[in-house]
Amino acid sequence: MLSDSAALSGAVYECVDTARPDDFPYMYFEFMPADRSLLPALSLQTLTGDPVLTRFMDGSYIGQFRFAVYLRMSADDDESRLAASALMEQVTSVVAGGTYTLPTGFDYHRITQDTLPRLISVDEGFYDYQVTFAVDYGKKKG
Amino acid sequence: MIPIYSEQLQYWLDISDAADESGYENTAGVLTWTPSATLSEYKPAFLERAISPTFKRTSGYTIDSQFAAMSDEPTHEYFIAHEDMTNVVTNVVRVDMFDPVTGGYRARRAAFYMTVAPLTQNANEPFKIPPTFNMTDDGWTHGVFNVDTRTFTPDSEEETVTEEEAVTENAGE
Repeated sequence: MLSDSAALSGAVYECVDTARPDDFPYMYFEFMPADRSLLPALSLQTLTGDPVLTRFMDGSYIGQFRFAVYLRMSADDDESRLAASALMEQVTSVVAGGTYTLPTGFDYHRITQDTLPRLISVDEGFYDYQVTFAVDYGKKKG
Repeated sequence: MIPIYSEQLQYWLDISDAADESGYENTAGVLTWTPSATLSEYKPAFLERAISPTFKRTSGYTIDSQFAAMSDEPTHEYFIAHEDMTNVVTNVVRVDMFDPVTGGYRARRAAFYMTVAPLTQNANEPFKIPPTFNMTDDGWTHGVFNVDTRTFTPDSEEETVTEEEAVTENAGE
């Protein structure tokens, strides 16, 4: 299961990176830039959770890869914060409707949205928004 | 000590409707697989003995199972095609993957009547297929199963040939 997360992180990152709206010139993996010239930025982070949803008698299983997509904006007024919410809705729609190609050995099942987009932190003028997803996949015992 | 895990015990199912053993497929997506034997007792009366022994015989053998439905599994397609049907003739081979022998793995085969109850479903998970198998044979036939060619060879087959040859040889003498 450890190798599942490592293998899926890169694949899901690439899929989200491919699908991201043009409003975001930058995308990162588990990193949020502190340089305002690089905003708005998207970032993908893997999340913890039970990696196996269903275990079968032959050793195969249905696994789940959970991840969060963050949006960091420098939003100084209500108008820009409302714009951030609209952008987050757009990001959510794109990620939830994306096409996910997983590495060999993984069967893609579906993607579900776990939480609603929300503002999770405000720090030194940086507004960070988060929405979380889960990719269900099948892995056969080799 | 080396434990034998459930993945080392495979159950292959003959999904050819002719049940002629031409369509063995390994079962996958198995959530539960529960064989159970019904035993009955009998006591023969031995007049010369003070205490009569108690014997047991198997009067029934049933396998209850449950599968999480998969669209790309041949056995699941077979189950769904036979949903709500009773007494569908098939063969089940249990393959002991922990016991490799010449030509395959130790295995046992028996004919079964399969009954597939209606499919059940819960929100947000694959629906479930609940086949039940009732043995029609007089117990298991032991042998060897080749997972590459998907063929079962009974142990007794060679012995039968030997006996026939012996009879022929005797008749010729």
